[in-house]
This record gives sequence, structure tokens and C-alpha cells, in this order.
Amino acid sequence: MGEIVWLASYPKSGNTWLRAFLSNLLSETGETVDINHLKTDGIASNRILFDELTGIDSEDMTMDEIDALRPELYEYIAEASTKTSFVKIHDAYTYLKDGRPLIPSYKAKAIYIVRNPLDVAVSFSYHSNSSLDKTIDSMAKDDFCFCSRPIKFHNQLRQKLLSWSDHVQSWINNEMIPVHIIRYEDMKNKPLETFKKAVEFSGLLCDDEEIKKALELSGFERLKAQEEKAGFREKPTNMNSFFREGKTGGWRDHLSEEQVSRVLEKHIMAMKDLEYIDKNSNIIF
Amino acid sequence: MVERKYVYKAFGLIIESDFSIPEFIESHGQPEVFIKYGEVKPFLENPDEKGIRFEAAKDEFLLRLDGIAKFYVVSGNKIIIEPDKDAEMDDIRVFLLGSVFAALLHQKQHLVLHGSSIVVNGKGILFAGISGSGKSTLAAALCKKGYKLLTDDLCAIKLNEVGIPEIIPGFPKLKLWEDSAKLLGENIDLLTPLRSKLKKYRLDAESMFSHDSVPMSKIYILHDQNNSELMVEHLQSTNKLKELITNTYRYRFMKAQGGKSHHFKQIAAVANAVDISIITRDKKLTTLEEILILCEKEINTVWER
Repeated sequence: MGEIVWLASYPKSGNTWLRAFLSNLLSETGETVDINHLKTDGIASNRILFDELTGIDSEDMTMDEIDALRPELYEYIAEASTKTSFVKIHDAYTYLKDGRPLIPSYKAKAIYIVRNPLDVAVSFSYHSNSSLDKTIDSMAKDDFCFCSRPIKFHNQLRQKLLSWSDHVQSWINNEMIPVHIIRYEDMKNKPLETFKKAVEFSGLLCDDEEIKKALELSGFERLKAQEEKAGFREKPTNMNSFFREGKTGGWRDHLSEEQVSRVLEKHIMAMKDLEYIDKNSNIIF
Repeated sequence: MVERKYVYKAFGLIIESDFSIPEFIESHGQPEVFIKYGEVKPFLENPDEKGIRFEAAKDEFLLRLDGIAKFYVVSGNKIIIEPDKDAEMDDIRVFLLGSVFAALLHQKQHLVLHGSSIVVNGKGILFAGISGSGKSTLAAALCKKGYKLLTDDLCAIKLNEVGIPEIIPGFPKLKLWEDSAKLLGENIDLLTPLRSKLKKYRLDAESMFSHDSVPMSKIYILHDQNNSELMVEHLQSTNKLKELITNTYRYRFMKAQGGKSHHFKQIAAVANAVDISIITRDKKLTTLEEILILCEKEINTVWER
């Protein structure tokens, strides 16, 4: 029976790593999967898929008209899937004006990948080629979106990300679809245990050896080496390399005290919930 | 009282419509396609293809757009439209001239590709590619340099008596987003908005329109790829077929026409008669001027076959 397993995350939180891991796990050749041909099932904001399956040119529709059809699009994909489809999504878990959730619960569950927002800020700033201050502002904006400027065409559909905290909370507190939360830091520090749980949640039947092998093939250095050799088509223009450092706690080398306190001020509640801050108000990682 | 009817020519067809379609060229003569208001049933009886808002069967097509209209296309000669309450005519026409006409042209057994085309030295050159790849902007820029427009967005192709593919002129309008229109030096205030709700406009190309079908000689498929340099790759036979399938407008509508083998015959004829190349670039790194220079050189080069 097919279903959608959403790979949901705020940007720069480990989504690509998880997709590379799953691709290697699902690959039957035993060879390293090319990062430019991952085996997972695309992204929720894919415009071409929307146009093909609805029969309408999304470029002639308003963003709200498009959103109104997205729940049916995802139900259609879930219904048509004969296997588990792993679909990346950066949209927050939001509701349409008529009360329907953007992401329907029919044959669907989600793995939510979360990362210390202090590290996200640094990584996101490199990714979008914008200053740390501007990135921290974007992460604090309640109505932050991707692909929403109305005067031009966007390759992807609009994605409402909301603020970093709201993004996290929208997914992990939703009561409509089952969510399994994984932290980037645990993917790094306890890979076998963390990835194994995600695999079990997805319903894939794999043994430890297969998981270890896929982890090895999707290790950060390997992904980085692939990018250096042949490029990565998901790398935004003007960014030096997509796979940059891939470490935890890198924010300590990049953020000023003032920048750290701005992040904490906005996101402290969610950070506590996710144990990025301990009882004594120390930042972990 | 006899209601006024409107008669136009578009895609090589004489069309009679119950309402005004200012995008088309006014015409006269015996209509072969009728656009009518009427009741549209919400489902087809036996659809072969069913999407989220469309259904298609042999000679039948249905599209339902919430808040706009239901469209029913039958036998390649009739389009029935049931507007929703409070629907705006602009909104109805946008989708009529897009997916709905594509379905009609598929029913007419034309090959429908996704692209904009111009005439160069009496031959049709098509710029194809997915939405947003820059087809309309490039065609508009070339029209401003004196080349005649054949089609924008929807390109209908038929094989002539001797099996040579010909591009049939669509209608003399180009769709442009605000940023592209400005890039082309247009004053937004003077352009007709596509829909009141979108920052997208119709550029009138009546003075730069080709009214006659012309044999097709080249296809350029535009690819926007992050970090790519501007480059052209000339394709060989198998890759040509693959690209022609990918660039078929609404492939799923066509499949229901039982026309898969007919479609394959058409794309094989196109692959045989037409040079096909891929132009790859990063839209963020390449200027319109750079791609124009490349294209003008390309389209005026005659290839040895």
C-alpha cells in the first residue's frame, strides 16, 4: 500500500542529507547514489507536477488559487502511490482559508527534521547569499515565504514557511498527521539509532547493515566530494558550495552575542521544547 | 432576438463564439469550431485519464476551475462553457486560451508543443520549455527585432501533405510577467492585464504576427539550470524524441485521444525534419541581451543535414 512520508523541515536543517540517506537505502545497485539523481520523490512545491496533475497552468493562477488545489494534489499522489513516496517539503503545516489543512492526512505521515536555529541562521545566510542579520530577521518573520514575489515567475509554488518557531510548532503540534521528529544534531551524533528510528517510522524493512551502508554512502564528506566533482543542481546561484561544513555548533564562530540573543529572544520557547536549551538556560550544541 | 455571435480565426480555425475574445483576430466565413455558453456536467461518463481538475476521453475533455467555469470540449469542434457565479471574463479567457484550446487541438490530432515560435527566413523556429523557462520573453524580444510571431505558449503543429511539420499561427498576443515586460522596455500601464489578480500582462503583437502556416525548421528547448553557463547542445535522434515527449503540452490530455501511436508518428516526423537543440543557462546569471545574441546567430545558421 502506498503512502506519502513527508520529509518536512525548515531549510538548511538536514533534509538533503536525509534524502541522500534514503536514496542510498532504497537503491538496489549498491553503488553510491548521484546527488543529482536522488531516489526520493521530489518536493511538494513542484510546479510541473501541479500543472500535469491538475491540468491547469499554475503560472496563470493566483497563489491562493494554487494552494486551494494542493490538498487534492497530495491526496491524488498518495492514492496513486504503490509504494512509500518520500516527498520533501519546506512549507509549514498551515490551514487554508476554508479550514482544510494544506497537507491532508489521507495516507500520509511526516518525518520532521529540526536543527538548532543558531546553526540554521548561519547555514541559511550562506545559502541565500544574504547577511546574518537579514537571515535572522527572515527567520523571525511570521509571514516569511519562499517564491511569493508577485511580479515574476517562480520555478516553485509559493511556500509559507512562517517564522522558524512557528514552522517547528506547526508540524510537531499538528494533530492531523503522525509526525516523527528527528534532530540534526542526533543525526550527527547518534546516526545509527536516529536514522534507524526514522526508517522504522517510514515502514521500510531494513536491517542494521543496510542502514550502516546507506549512512556510509551518504556521509557528509562523500556528498561534499560529489559536489566538488560534478556540482549539485540544487545549489542556489551565487553560493560557493551547498555542502559547506555540515557540523553542529558552528554558530559559535559566526554569530555575535547580539545576534545570538536576537535568535534566543524570538525562538526560546521552541528551543526549550526541542532541548536546544537546558534547564539552566545553557545552549546545548 | 438573435444574439450576436463573434467570429475569429486562431490556430488555423474559423471559430464562432458566444462572447468576445479580443485576443483573437476577427474573421468571417464558415465556422468549424463553436464556443458556446451552456450547461456542463461535472464528470465524464468514462474518462480514460483523470486528473485533479480535468478528465479526458476519446473526443471529450472536461476542466473544472473553481470560481471560474467548467469547460467541456467535444469532437474537436465544440467548447461549452458554464461560468461560475461572479466569474470574470478575463479569468475565463485565460484558461480557455490555454489548457482548453490545447485539449481541442489534441482532439484535432494536431501535435501540441509547449512553446513560442517565430518566423525566420520563411521557416518556423520554436522556443520550447517548461513554464518560466523564458520562451515568451525571448520570442517577444525577437519580435521587437523584426521577426514575426507565430505562437505564444501553445504551439500547434500539423504534418502537411508530404509529411513535413508546419507550425500553425496561434493568435497575436504574448503573455509576460511584469519583470519581463519591463525588461523589454514596456510601460506596464499601457498593457492589458491577463487577469485583475495577477501581475502578468498581454503584449499585443498584431503588427508583428505571421498569418500563415510555415514549415518548421528548428526547435530550441530552453533549460534554466542553477549555476550553468550559457550553452547550446545539438541533439541526436533518440534524445530528440525524448524532448518532444517532454515538451508536448499536457501530454495526459493527448493520451486519452487513443492517439499515442499517432502522437509518436508526429514526433518522429518532427525529429526527422527539424533540428533540435537545448539552450541551457542560469536565468540569474545570463542577461536577455546575451541570450538574444546567441539565438540570433543560431536561428540564422543553416545546418548541413
